[in-house]
Amino acid sequence: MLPPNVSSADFNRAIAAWKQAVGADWVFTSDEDVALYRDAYSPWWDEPDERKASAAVAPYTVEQVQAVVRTANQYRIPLYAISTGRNLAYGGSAPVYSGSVVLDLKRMNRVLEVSERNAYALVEPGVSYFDLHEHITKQKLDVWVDPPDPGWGSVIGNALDGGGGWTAFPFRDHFGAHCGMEVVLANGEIVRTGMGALGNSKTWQHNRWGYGPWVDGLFRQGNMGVVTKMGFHLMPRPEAMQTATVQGAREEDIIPLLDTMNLLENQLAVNGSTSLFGGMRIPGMPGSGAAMWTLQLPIYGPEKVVRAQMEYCREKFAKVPGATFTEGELFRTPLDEATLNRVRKVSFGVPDLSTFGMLGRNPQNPAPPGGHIGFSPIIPRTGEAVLEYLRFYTSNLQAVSEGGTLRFVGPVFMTNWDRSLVAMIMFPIGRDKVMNAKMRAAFEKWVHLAAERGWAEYRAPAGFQDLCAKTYSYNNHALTRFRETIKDAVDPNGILSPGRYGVWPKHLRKGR
Amino acid sequence: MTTRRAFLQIATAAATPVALGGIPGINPRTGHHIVLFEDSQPQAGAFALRAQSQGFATRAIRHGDITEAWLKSVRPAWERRPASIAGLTTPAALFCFEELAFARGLRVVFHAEHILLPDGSAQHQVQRAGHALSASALQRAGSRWPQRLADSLAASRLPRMARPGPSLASLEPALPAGATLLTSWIIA
Repeated sequence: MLPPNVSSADFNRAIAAWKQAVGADWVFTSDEDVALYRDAYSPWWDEPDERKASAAVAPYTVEQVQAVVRTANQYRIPLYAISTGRNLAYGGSAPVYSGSVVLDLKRMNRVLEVSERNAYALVEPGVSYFDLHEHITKQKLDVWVDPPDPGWGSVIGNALDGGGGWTAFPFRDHFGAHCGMEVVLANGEIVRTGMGALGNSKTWQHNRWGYGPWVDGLFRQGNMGVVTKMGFHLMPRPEAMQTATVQGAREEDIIPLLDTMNLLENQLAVNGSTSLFGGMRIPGMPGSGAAMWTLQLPIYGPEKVVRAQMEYCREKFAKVPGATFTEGELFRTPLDEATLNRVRKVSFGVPDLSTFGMLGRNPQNPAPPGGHIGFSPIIPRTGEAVLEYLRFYTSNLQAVSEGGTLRFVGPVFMTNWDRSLVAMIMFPIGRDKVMNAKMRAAFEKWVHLAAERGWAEYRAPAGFQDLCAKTYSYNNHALTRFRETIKDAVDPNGILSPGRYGVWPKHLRKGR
Repeated sequence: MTTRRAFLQIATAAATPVALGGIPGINPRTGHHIVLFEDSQPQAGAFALRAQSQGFATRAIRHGDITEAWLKSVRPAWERRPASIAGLTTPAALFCFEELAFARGLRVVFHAEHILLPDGSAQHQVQRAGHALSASALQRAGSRWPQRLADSLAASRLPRMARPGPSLASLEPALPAGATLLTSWIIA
């Protein structure tokens, strides 16, 4: 496969230049090697529209990234940058624009610095949560990482894709917890953001704002540059963690329950990643028993403070009629191995891969398809919005699921971020192409139906990024046009990740 | 053109006599580092017992969560050099190992699916035949198919090359009601 609109001669010249820059062993052009960059959960698997790469290049240093980008610019070859390529359910390592060359950064896997005193890390894109956790453990540093499910992905990649984790605020908002970037622009120039722009900066990972307009957001879910280093603030190991479980029996209880939980979170009396279950009877999920709603409220901090905050939470929920409040076990850290083996590890800063076990076949999930894609609209964090979403879901389910023949998973309400909920529905993807096509059609219907209600996605699989971007349509898509204006200015040849999150370079916009 | 896999195979072959001796758990007859099995399935347990008797180091995986096996066994071995592993696990476990293996130039060279039916019987389908074992041979073994599978691992050397690209472990097939799926595999 050739990149679109690139001659065979030019592609060969670019390949030769990349081999010169990164070494012949790290430029992959054979079908066998390039196939490894397919999206394992692609809803177009083995169909003509499956997004595929034409080649891959794996640099080891930022200088090599610069060389690769300059060559791509010379021959106008689209690149698609990945960190470790584990953004499963959102496209994996496959490019948005078929035929792009994957710029695979997983060899850049150095943990450059971890400061215990100021609780931050500086890492390269190939550093996974496992790697960072191992480094911290080996160095006996008293800080935690905040792993997502699962922990094999890139710390930088997860942040740039808008991922989140499971420990305390603000660390579990991975982009929000970053502090400073190094970026290779489309012309090969290196930019450092925030305080890193100072030639001899001593505060790159200490202060994220720097001086003047803040540009880091351009690189979140973006295609304006290739991020080659990124700083993150880390949580000092909390002394203790305790979770309260609150339940309500009636449908309308969700309104005061959520109001109370929001207050406690916005006060930071509850700082852990809360959970909301219920409303729909989902087998195996907490909240599917007698209670209609179940909230879980983890609190991290010094033991005395955790106990005081727990008492404060109890008082607040006592004012909600009918609510039950149960304190869970108080865990003192660091956990011993036996305790760690009976808790959810990611809640204690320990990355794992247990998600894949949970997604597998079990009595609650007798027919897992293996693959899945996620529909993840953001809705307000109110009980009224939750009830409206559930009514919306149930009233449309028959039609979208073709009379119940398509099995979706959800909705699951996720509380990763304050002041909003992600009302996620998962679409199984399997080997059956006809069924996959139906799932794609259903996904599109949910996107349109949700947009009509004012709900839109925070993150989308590669093949649906245009669709979801179009729902952000205020003032004739002014935000998209603004992004395109920037794109055309900083990447005039449109070589960096064309189409990522709906931002296309000028020469590829026609007809989209 | 030298592919990444071919490059690593050449490097591995050149280093084999010394390197194999240096890795704990390597079965010198086959070169497999370790055999992994799904602890919650009796058939996988029978497979592991037989593999042990053939001289393989085995490690249990519970409910498809490979974390411990990965961190404590496979990753340390692969940090020394890419070594082959085999297993009878859930498809999810294979998918995880396969993804992790790609970065080390290793691939799934054998992949078979075993559908465990509610009546206790099993149906077998070889998805990637980089190994001298057929679905009919497993079918003929009846309820002792796990032992037959383990015997075949011990009996044969690894193939030099396999079908390109990822296996189908990430996407499960449709199954009859009440059936369970196990997958056997070799990554090399």
